[in-house]
Amino acid sequence: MALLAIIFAVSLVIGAEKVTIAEVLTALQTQNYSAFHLRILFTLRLPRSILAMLSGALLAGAGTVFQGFFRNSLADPGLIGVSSGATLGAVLFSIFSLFIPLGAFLGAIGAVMLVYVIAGGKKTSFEPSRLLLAGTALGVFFSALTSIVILMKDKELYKMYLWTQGSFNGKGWQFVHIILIPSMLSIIAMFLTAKPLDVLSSGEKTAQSLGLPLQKVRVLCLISGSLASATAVCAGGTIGFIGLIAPHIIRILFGSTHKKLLPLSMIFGSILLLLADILSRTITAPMELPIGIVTAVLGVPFFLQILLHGKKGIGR
Amino acid sequence: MIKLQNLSAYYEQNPQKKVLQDVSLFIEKGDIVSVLGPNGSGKSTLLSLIAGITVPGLITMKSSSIILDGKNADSYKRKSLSQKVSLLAQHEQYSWPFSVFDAVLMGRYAHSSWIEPYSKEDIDSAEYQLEELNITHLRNRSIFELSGGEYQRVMIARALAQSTEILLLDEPFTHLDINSQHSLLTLIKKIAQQKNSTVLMSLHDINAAPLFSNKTILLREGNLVCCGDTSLIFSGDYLSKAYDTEFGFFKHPYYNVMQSYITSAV
Repeated sequence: MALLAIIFAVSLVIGAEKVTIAEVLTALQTQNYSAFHLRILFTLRLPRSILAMLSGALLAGAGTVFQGFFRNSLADPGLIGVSSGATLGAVLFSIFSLFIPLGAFLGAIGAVMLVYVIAGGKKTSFEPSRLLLAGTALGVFFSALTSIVILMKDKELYKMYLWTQGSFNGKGWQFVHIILIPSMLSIIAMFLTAKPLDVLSSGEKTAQSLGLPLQKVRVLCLISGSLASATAVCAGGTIGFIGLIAPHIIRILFGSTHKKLLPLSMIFGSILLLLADILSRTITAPMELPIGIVTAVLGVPFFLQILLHGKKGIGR
Repeated sequence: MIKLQNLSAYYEQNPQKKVLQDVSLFIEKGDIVSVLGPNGSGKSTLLSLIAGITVPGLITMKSSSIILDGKNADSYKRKSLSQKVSLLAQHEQYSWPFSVFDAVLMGRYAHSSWIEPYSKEDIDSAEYQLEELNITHLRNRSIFELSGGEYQRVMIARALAQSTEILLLDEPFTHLDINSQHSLLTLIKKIAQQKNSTVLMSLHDINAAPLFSNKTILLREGNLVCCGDTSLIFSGDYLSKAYDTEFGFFKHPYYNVMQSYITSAV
């Protein structure tokens, strides 16, 4: 938590224009927010950092819920095609001038259900390889459809391209307002899945015999995870690997019970995404890298390492 | 008390082949029951259905009924059924490396609320089961780092932490060495007798049945061959009918119960 606060503060002062912490403090004391630097801070950087922080928490939370739901440590909103589904839904809805967040949510939940059915959800257990193959294939398919749609609407091409790559650039308070309620709703819903996810991990027969209403829990996981993924896509576009890495590292460090895993993963996800956002606007400053590129460059080596070492048991 | 009436079930893709066919039987409270029969005779399905588990693709015929303590099993809510019946399922593994204690604590899920943390009572009960199964020293170990015998003890501790009147064990000892199997069965028998709980366990080692159970259910291709006193099964041709091979019997030199051996192979 303390680390998150520090990085949040750092994210406010780093950027193309330097704003010092002293300046911020003076402004807070004198109630004078009109200086140029402070306008940057309050109209650009503050909402941007809030968006990055919330997205990180949502992606990590959704990753945790999906990993628990699919009982597989490789599930992640990006890898199982949910983020691409949300993006496609959002882009389609924006073309028809409908409410974009709803499109993102419908796209996300549609993608999860497709992957679930294809990966063998009706059978007793998921085959991990089928899950990944189905997720990856559908993800590529959705991305291709998204590209086609964007190319047909070339006026908004660049903006949409940036958005699908993931970026918090130029997103002000209105985005914070849009995602605030769905964020809170999905975070609460995800916390409701914590205890059931522990039980679910014992296997589907065992979970039922322990008293878990399997169908209800599945629906809750699907809805909360999809809402979180979709909200994160609304806030920052498709950002991969946060949902994969955060729960994985927290599980190694703090154990597997979801009561700890969920909140700690969310905090860790926030930290990771804030760091990635800082990197995305400093490495090539004053140009900005899409944040999806930063998380991919950092995340892929980690992902490969998990693949190489497999799903071995880690203590605690 | 468990009463099955005309229990029939089949898989969606093959309605002709019944996994269970008109199984009717009656188990009294306090009975320790062995469920015997060849592979694919319906032992697991029988236990799953009594525990109220939805098995994907498995359809139970409408004429079937399972009655637990005079009440139809369908009328129980998932949680209240799990307060009455616990099942140690076969072939199921945890997906994450929980600690032994956390795994046993999950046995209390049916007694706890959806959101709130486990109560003091739940935690005490889990600690007590660790002691009773003699695995307190494993408390903080990862369940992925246990030997087969230790793991099965943890699973039995979890099932007992559920504190149900009826305990269903699906081939709980198949991969255990003879000493682990014997000591665990002795322990389960002792605990069941103390608490006057009902135990149904499917076994492949048929000679364990006379040592540890007073009743036996014998299945063959989904049909009930016999349900009665274990001493009855270990005489006559019931076993021969169920397993399609000839059996002979002899008296156990130490425990003074009947044992069987195969006299001809098909």
